[in-house]
Amino acid sequence: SENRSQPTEGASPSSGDAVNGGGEPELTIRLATNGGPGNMLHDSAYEYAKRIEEKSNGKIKVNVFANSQLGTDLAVMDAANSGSIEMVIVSTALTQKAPEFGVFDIPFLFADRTKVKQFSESDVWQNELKSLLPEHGLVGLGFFENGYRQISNNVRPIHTPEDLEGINIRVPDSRIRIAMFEEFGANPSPLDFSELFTALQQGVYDAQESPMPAIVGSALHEVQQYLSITNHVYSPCYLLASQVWWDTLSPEHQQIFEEVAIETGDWSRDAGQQADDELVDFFKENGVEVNDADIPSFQARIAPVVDIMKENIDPDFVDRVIEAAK
Amino acid sequence: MTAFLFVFSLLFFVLLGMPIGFALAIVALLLLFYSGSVPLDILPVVLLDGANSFPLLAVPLFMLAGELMNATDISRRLIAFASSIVGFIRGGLAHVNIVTSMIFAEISGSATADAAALGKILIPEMKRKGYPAGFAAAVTSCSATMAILIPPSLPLILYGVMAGVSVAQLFIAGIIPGLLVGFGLMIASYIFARYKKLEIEQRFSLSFIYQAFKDAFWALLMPVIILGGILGGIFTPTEAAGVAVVVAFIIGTFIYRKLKWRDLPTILISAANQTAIVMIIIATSKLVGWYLTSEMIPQQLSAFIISLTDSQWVLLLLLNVFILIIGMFFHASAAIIMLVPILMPLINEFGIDPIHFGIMLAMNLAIGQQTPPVASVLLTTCSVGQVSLSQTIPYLKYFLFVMVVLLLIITYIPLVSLWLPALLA
Amino acid sequence: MKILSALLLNGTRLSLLLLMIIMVISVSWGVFARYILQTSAPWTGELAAYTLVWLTFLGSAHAVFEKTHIRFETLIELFPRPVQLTINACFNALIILFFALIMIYGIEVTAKTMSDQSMTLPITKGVIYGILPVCSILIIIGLLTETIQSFRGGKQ
Ligand code: NA
Ligand code: NA
Repeated sequence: SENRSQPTEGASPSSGDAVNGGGEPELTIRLATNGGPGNMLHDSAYEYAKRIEEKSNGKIKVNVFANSQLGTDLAVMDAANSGSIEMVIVSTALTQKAPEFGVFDIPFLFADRTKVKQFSESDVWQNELKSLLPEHGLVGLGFFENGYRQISNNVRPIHTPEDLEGINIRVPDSRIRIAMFEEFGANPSPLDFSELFTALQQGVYDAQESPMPAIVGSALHEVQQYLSITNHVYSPCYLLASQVWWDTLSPEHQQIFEEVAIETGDWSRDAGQQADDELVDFFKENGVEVNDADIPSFQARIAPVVDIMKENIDPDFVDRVIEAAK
Repeated sequence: MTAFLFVFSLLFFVLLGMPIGFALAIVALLLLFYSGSVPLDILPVVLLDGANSFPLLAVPLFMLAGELMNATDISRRLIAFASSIVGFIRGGLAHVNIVTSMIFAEISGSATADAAALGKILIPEMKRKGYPAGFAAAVTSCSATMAILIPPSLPLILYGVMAGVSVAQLFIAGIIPGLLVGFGLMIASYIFARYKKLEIEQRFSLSFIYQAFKDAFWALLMPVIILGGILGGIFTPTEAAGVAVVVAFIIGTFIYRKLKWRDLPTILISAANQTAIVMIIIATSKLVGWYLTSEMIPQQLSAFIISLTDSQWVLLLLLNVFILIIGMFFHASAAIIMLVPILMPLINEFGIDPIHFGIMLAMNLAIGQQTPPVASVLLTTCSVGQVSLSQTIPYLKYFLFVMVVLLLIITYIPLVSLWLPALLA
Repeated sequence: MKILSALLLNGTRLSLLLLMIIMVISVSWGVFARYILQTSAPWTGELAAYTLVWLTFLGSAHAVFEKTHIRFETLIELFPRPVQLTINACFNALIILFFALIMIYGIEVTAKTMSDQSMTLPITKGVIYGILPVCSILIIIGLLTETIQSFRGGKQ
C-alpha cells in the first residue's frame, strides 16, 4: 500500500500511559472532535492531549474521542454546555451557536500564518469573539488550524475563475461559501460529507474544496485528478471547554489548560504549514496534477461576498476583523 | 463489571418482551445511574443525534418507493420478469432475491438501504408464492449485506480513511468476498428449496421471457433510471431513494393508473411507521454506544483479548470473536471508528495485510448487522416485510452459519481478498 | 381519555404524512435543482435530515399507539397472562420514567438552543430538539392508556 503520512501514530489512544508513569491521573477528561486521522482537528486534539499530560506530569489525562465518536459537532457542543463532555474541538459548526464566527469565511482574509498568529493574540479574538461563547455554556481556549482551503476537481486545472465555469462543486452547508463560489463562476451546492467520496467517484460532483490534510485524510485524492492551490479561505478550528466544568477547576489547572492551548495553537500552524509543503509532493506521487492558481483573479471577485456577509453580521465587526487580520 | 451489567440487563429486558428500542434506552439509563459520572442532561442530546444521519434517509425513502411499487403493480411485473429468467431453478424467488441484491450492492453503499428497498418488494411476493415468511426475511437480510462488501461501500470508505489504506484497493478487494456471499447464500437457498420441496416457478421458455418483458416494460424503467442515474453521476445513492419514490409515483399513477389518491395517506403512514421502529433502535443504541465509548469499555476488552496470545492464527480467531461481539451491539460505522485506532497497531505488528483485515472487518460487521439486539439490517427487513423476529430467526441461523464459514475462509485465506487487487495492480 | 387518544393519534398521523412528503420533496428537489436548474438548493439536505429526526420520534410515539414496536414475543408468551401483564406494566413504568427524563431534560436543551441558527433553514436548533418533549408526552400517554386497557381486558 501507500506511504501516507500518519502523524497520529505517536499519539494513539493508549499512548498516554507511558507519560503517566503508572500513577493514577487526578483528573481525566474527554476531548471530542469530528476529525479523523490526517485531519488537523484530529491531530491537534492528540497533540493537545499529549502536551497536557507532559505539562501536568501525568496528573491530567485527556482522552481524545475523534471521528465524531461522541456525536456530531452540534451535539458535542450541547453536551459540553451541560458538562457531559469537558472539551471539544470544532470548526465551522460554531457559527450555528454564534454567527459572528462566520467571518472566517471572508475569502483571502489571512495572507499567511503569521497574520493568523497575530490575529489569535488580537483583541478581536481574545475579547470580542471569546466573549460570545459563555452564553452557550462554552469557554474559548484555543484558536487552532483547520487549514487553507484548496480546490480539487476532475475537469481541468483551475487557474482563474473562468476555469470554474460549469463545474459542480461540493461545498459545506454555508451560505457564504455558496455565494463565494457563485461569484467565482462555479455551480456550488452542499452535500453531506458522508456521500462525498462516492459522489466524486461517480461524477455527481466534479469538485470539492477543503484543506490539503483533510483531502488526504478523507482519501479524496484517490478520486480527484487536479488540485489547485487557491488558499481561498483559511479555516480555523477552536478548542472549547465546558463552562460548568471549567468553573470547577483550580486556577493552577486552568492555567495549564490555557497555556497548552496557546502552545498547541502555535504547533498546529507549524504542522499545517509543514503539511501544505509536504503534501504537494504526496499528491503528485499519487497521480494528482497540482497547480498554483492565479490568486489575484479570484480576489477581484470577492467584494459582493463581503457585502453579503455584512447583511448578516454587524458590518463594523466585520471591518474590525479584516483590520485585525491585516 | 459494566460490561456484565450491560449484557445481562439488556438480555433480561429484550427476552421478556420489552421493545428493543426502549430496552436499549433503559439499559443506557441504568448504566448512567450506575456510573454516576455523566449528568443525565446528555440523554436528549445523544438521543437526537443518534437519529440525525443523512445516509439513513435512504431507509424511509426506499421503504416508501417499495410501498408504491407494490401498490401499483410495478413490483409484481418486475418479479414476474425476473422469475421468467431464473424461475426454473428450485427456490427461484430466493435466487431472484439474492441476484437482485448483488446488482443493488453495485449501486448502494449501505446494507440497511438495500434491505429497505428489496425487502419491501420481494418479501410480500415470496410470501404469496408460499415461501415461509421467516425464510424470505432471512434471505433478504443476509443478501443485503453484499452492499458493504461489493463496492461502493460506506464502511470500507470509513475503514480506508481511518486505517490509512487506499479505498480503491479495498473496493477491489471486496468484490470476490461479496460474490462468495451471494453464491453461498444461493447454495443454502437451493438446499433449503430441495429439502422443503418448494415448487419450481415455471419452466424455462424464451416466449415466457418475451411476454414477461413486454408486461414489465415500464416497470423496468424504474431500475434503469435508478442504476443509470447513480452510475451516470446524476445523483448519489441516497438521493436515488428520493428519485425512486417520484418515478414509482409517476409510473404508478399516470402509466399503470393503479394508484388512487385516497390510498396515499395509508401508504405514507405505513412507510413512516416502519421507518420509525427501526430508527428508534438506531437512536437509542447510540445512547448505549455513547456511554460504552466514553468509558472506553471496548478498549479495555480489546486489551484483554490481545493479552491472550502472540500467534497470528489465534489472534485472528480472537479478533473475529471480539469484533463479532462488538458488531452485535454497535452499528458498522460506529464499530469501525472505535475499533480501527485500537486494532491497527496490532494488525501492523502481527504483519497482517491491512486490506485483508479491512475485508475481514467488513464481513464481521455484515454478520453483526444480522444479530440482535442492534441489528439494523435484520430489523429493517423484518419491519418492511412485516415479519416477526421469532419467525425469522429459525431460518436466519442457517444463513448466518454460511456467513460465518465464509468469514473463516476470508480470515484464513488472505488470497480471497488480496488476489484481485494484486492482479489489477 | 379515549377521545384524547384518538385526537392525538390522528394529529400524529397527519404530521407523519406531512413529514414523509416534505422528505421526498426536499431530497428530489436537491437533485432537480443541481442537475436540471444548474443551481443550488442548499436547504434540501439539512431539511431532509431533520425531517428524518422528527419522523423517528413522532413515528415512535405512533408505534406505541399502534403497538408495532419491534420486540421478542416468544418467551413472554409462555408465561400465564397475569404474569405477562405485571411484567408489561413494570416495563411500561420504566419506559415512562425514561421518557419523563427525556421530557424534562429535553425542555431544558430546547430552551438552551433556541438561539442556535440552522445553517440553511430559517429555524433554530431548539425547534429540532422540541420534538423530544412533544413525543415524550405522547409516548407516556400511549403507554398509560395501553397499561390501563391491558388490565381492564385482563379482568374480563
Ligand atoms: Na455496495
Ligand atoms: Na448486531
